[in-house]
Amino acid sequence: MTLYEHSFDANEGARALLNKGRLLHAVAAGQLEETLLRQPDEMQCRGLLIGYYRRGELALADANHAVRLNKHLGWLIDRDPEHALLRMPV
Amino acid sequence: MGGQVNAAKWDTLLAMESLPLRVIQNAAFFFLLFEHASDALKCEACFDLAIEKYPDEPWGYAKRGRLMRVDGRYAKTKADRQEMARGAYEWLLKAQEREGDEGKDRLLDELAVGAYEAGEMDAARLFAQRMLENVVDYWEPSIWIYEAHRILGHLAFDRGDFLQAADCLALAGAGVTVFRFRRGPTLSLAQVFLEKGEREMVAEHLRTIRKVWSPGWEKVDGWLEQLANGQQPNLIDSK
Repeated sequence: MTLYEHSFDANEGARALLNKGRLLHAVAAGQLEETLLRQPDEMQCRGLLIGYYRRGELALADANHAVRLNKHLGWLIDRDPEHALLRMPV
Repeated sequence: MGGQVNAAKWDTLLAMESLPLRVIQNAAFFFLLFEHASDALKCEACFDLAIEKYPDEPWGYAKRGRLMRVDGRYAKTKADRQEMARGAYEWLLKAQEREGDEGKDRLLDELAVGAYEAGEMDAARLFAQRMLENVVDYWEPSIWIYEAHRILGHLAFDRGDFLQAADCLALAGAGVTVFRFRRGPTLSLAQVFLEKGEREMVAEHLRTIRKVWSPGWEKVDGWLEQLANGQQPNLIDSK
């Protein structure tokens, strides 16, 4: 089994989370941001938010989304640069 | 806006002596996402680094091949396109050689398209047929069904067997249950039939595709309208 295959389940989980995040609306995203202030290790919230901010049209139209996206990506790069949430293009 | 800060973080990590493959993969996806010219080069550098540090892993070879295959489509001359297609196909074969038993069919779609673009018609047919034999194992079966029939259809079209090619186009549409992604199917086979003047056949194919590709309704409706108005839509490059 290759490293590529080992990560299949993690990739699928991350993909599902990111895709679900794309469907969030702004109020829900704000609530998740508040949750992360209290519980920064809550990876489900972070994954949903990365999906939300990476939604192409939002990232392009709103500079704040790009800033927030990079904040979450940076947090992950610092703590777990192997994490599957960093791997999946939405 | 934070992107450069994160790019610098990846640069630091990539300079480490002991470097997990997953870190290289994640860095490559990051640079791919940002799509600046310098970042595209960094993405390529990640593929090379993966090959250097993990020469027995298929990932770096597969990504190199895919990148060269896509870049080759934008080459200025036919000779350049063919040379890049052949180079891409060689990278994909190197990746395939390194896949274990469980992963041996993972790259079949890339290999089928890569072989076709490289002019390796027998290999393209074999890879496309293997795709159809392994549909159930793929995470997005509709794409594989469509792609396999598309390649088989192009092979038939190129040798002048238009009836066979038309069957393949019909099978490509009929075998699909859903296209979940905005990008949808590659409609190159429909395009060559359109250029041959088979407007009703193409319209029928588009109506079939429309049923299973809801993110593409607007696009398909636009093409159907163009066809109805006697215009010639471009099914390939339309964004």
